[in-house]
Amino acid sequence: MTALLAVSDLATHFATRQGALKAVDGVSFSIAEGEIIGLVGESGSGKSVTGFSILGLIDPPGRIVGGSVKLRGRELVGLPARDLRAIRGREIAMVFQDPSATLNPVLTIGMQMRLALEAHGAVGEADARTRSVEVLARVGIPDAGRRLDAYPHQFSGGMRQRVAIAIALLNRPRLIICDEPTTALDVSIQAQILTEMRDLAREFGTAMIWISHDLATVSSIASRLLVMYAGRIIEEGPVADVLREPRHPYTAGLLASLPANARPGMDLRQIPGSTPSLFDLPPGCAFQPRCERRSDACIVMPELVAVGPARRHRCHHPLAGAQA
Amino acid sequence: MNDATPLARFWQEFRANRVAVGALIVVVAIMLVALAAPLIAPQNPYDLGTLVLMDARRPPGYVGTKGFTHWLGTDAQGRDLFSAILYGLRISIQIGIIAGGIAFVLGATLGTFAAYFGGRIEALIMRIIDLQLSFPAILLALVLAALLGQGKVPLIAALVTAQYAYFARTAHGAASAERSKDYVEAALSTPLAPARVVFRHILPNCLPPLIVVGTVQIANSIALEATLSFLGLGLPVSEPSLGMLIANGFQYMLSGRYWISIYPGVALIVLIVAINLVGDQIRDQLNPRLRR
Amino acid sequence: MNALVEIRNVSKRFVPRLSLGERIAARLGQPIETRTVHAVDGVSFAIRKGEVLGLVGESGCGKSTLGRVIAGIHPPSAGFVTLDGAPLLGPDGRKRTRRVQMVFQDPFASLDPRIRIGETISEGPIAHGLTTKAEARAYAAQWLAAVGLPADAADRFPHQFSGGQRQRVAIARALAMKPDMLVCDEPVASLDVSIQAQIVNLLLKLRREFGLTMLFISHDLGIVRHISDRIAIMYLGRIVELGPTEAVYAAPAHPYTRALLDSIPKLVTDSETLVSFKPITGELPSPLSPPPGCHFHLRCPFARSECREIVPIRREAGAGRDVACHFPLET
Repeated sequence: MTALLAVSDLATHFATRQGALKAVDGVSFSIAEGEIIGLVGESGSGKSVTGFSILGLIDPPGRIVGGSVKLRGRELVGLPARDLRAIRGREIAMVFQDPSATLNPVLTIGMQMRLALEAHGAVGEADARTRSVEVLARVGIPDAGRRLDAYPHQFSGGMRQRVAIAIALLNRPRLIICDEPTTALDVSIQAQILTEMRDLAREFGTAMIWISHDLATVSSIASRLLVMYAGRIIEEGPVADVLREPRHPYTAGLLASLPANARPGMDLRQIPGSTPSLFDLPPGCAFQPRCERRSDACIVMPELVAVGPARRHRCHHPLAGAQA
Repeated sequence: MNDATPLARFWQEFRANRVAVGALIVVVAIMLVALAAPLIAPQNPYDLGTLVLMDARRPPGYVGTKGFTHWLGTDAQGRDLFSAILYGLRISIQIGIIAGGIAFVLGATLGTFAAYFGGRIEALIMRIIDLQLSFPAILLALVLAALLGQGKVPLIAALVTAQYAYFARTAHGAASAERSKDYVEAALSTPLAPARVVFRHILPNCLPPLIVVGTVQIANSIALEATLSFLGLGLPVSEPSLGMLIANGFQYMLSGRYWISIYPGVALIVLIVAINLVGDQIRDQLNPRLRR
Repeated sequence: MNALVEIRNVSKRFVPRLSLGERIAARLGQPIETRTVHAVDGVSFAIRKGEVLGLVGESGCGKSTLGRVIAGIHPPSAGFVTLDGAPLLGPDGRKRTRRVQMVFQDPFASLDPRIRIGETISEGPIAHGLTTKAEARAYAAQWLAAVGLPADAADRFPHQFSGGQRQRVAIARALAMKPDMLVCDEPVASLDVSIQAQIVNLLLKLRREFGLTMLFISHDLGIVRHISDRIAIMYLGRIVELGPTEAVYAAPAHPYTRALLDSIPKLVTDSETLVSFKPITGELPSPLSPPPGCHFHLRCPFARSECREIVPIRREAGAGRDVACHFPLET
């Protein structure tokens, strides 16, 4: 199986007054055609920056300082802006947490969809309309033909996110990067969109990177899970396996802290301390000051080691693999 | 985490802009010189007894009958221009800061309270201010100066009336935004007295835009005062401010005695430009949209 | 058990202000549509001394507005809130609203950025005579210690703290007023997952130590279940179900509660499970024009004709529970 997208040693830094902020620091992973992976982490873990870096959407003072991103063998890092634009939307699309990042408030939905189609090849007005209605209907927008002439503000939050997803789907991309697309939505709407995205991915064979901070959401859509902490991947594996038998103490701690794993009214298991500042990372493993299993060895950054065919972790003292 | 106080961080950032630092040095230097005018100036330009009519309209560098050099020449009454400019700056800065300060306090209080109370009070205050903003400030100041007569107090009153509305407008905009923030709701749920919420919480958070408007308005009131004095509606002739010095020399411009108008003009321009440069840098630093 | 806070028929309406043109047109006899938002619509319940009542609902259901009414920030448009039997607002309301304090969702917005932590915590207590200026430092340190922060935090500004630490400060500020009740409006929603547990544990500890009564507002059903003794479910301004937490979670009586519980994705730890949740069909109606009858009927799989016309009244459904539904589910 050849990888659709192969990211290796990706590093994205932001130049600031206090020195280089290493938002993403040596991230490697790959996605197969039609695969859905979940990228999980807290704020500052580098999960969103990883998503933006793949599309080359890093503005100064940020810069991709190393590594490579290969789409079907073609290197994307260092590609001229024009070539990147041709890939964005056509082969890789992105859905953001806030749909207003995608939607232009002064254009009708139909117009925006037509522009998105025209950006990647000339289409007639009638064709554009047919295709737009088809995609809008597919993402669950009722009465799509009439809604084409509406403006973004005439849609509810959930519907706006659907429109953003429809625009992402327009050119049948091979990969969609979803950056917390349901975080701003209500529980009942989130569930609808999750189901639809999963079905769409299955139907069109689209691969997805689902970026989220919510383990439960990711576990219900992705097949493989990557956990990030302070700019690095610290654990990787099939979703169910990682959640059942986490190897990295951070993953284990996160899972244990969920209310579902505690008796109501009793204290939750908590990870002590706070998320480290990227300006002031501890030496070695970034999680070590908060870790119960740390030893003197932890002041040396552990390598991401493979365990078995599908799992990797970055820890000197991984959990054995029994119940967490 | 940066442990410095907000003020210290502000200064660190300010220091990075050399032009602004230069401008700040100029402003401070001019202020110090103006403050120390009686010690530095070779002559007291207000004391008619020290003026020698024979030395009138002499060019820069002329050594007068009293034995000192008139580096910038003399005016029609035989005043040493260097001394006159120092005393003129003193008056200009004094009036600019007093008028700007009063306008600041008055405008900021009105604007903030309007935003805090809302409803009819807000509508009333803001409509009056809108109405006033639709008149050119210079026109308003002219009318007031003409009505109130000459002297420092009427001049300051005219300047304050012409300018407080800008502060009120800015304060109202900023305070309306702050009013809806959670920390104000937290203060309301405590509950704290309205005066404390306004003066301890809302107003300090509205200061950044007000300080920017403040620096610009001090420069403006100095210019406005010069304009009024130039037109003869400012201070009495016995206490020449920069505007009046320029006006006095105006009639001699074409006869080649340029220095009587030009040097006070240059002093005025340097001061106003320097204040504005400092104000620009402050605005850049305080405007969240221009920050990286 | 006796009620500490009672909410009787509380409504909160927001009428968007008309523009000058619209007002003139209205005076001239033009029919101008006034769109009233019924953020809270005739809500009644009691919060017992020492209990934690969870208030759950989706965005726009009015839960935050209701919390602010109870905390005395907004006066209700109709109905009233009583504390120990006396009206919360009214003569000497200032003394009474002091006894209900609030913790907000976003600790980056709820702390004044220009004021040192020590003053943030002690200014309210000084204004209300709970401490003096001279003792303010020690007083603030005492409450900082209660939330697990060092005493020297008092000299620092909010921007020098992480989100979790700021939320601790916000909690200390509320506690320093020695309230009988704490209204927590999504206190962990904006925090990192690994920090959420710390704040939940802190609230649990404070509850044990001070016997606090709490209204815990959240959309996160997992956390509400963990912390609450009873829960109230809100939909478009109305309480649709109220009862002991475990009973409601085990067997919801209102179709909306059931649908909401079903729609949360759960952790999938075996590769066989494909679907861990079931979405509710349809959109959340706009609070500007809620549907007539039962607000939920458009999305309810069990809706019948009465549901479209008659507003269901809340009535008893089992021990200590009640539900506002014409055709409640078996419990």
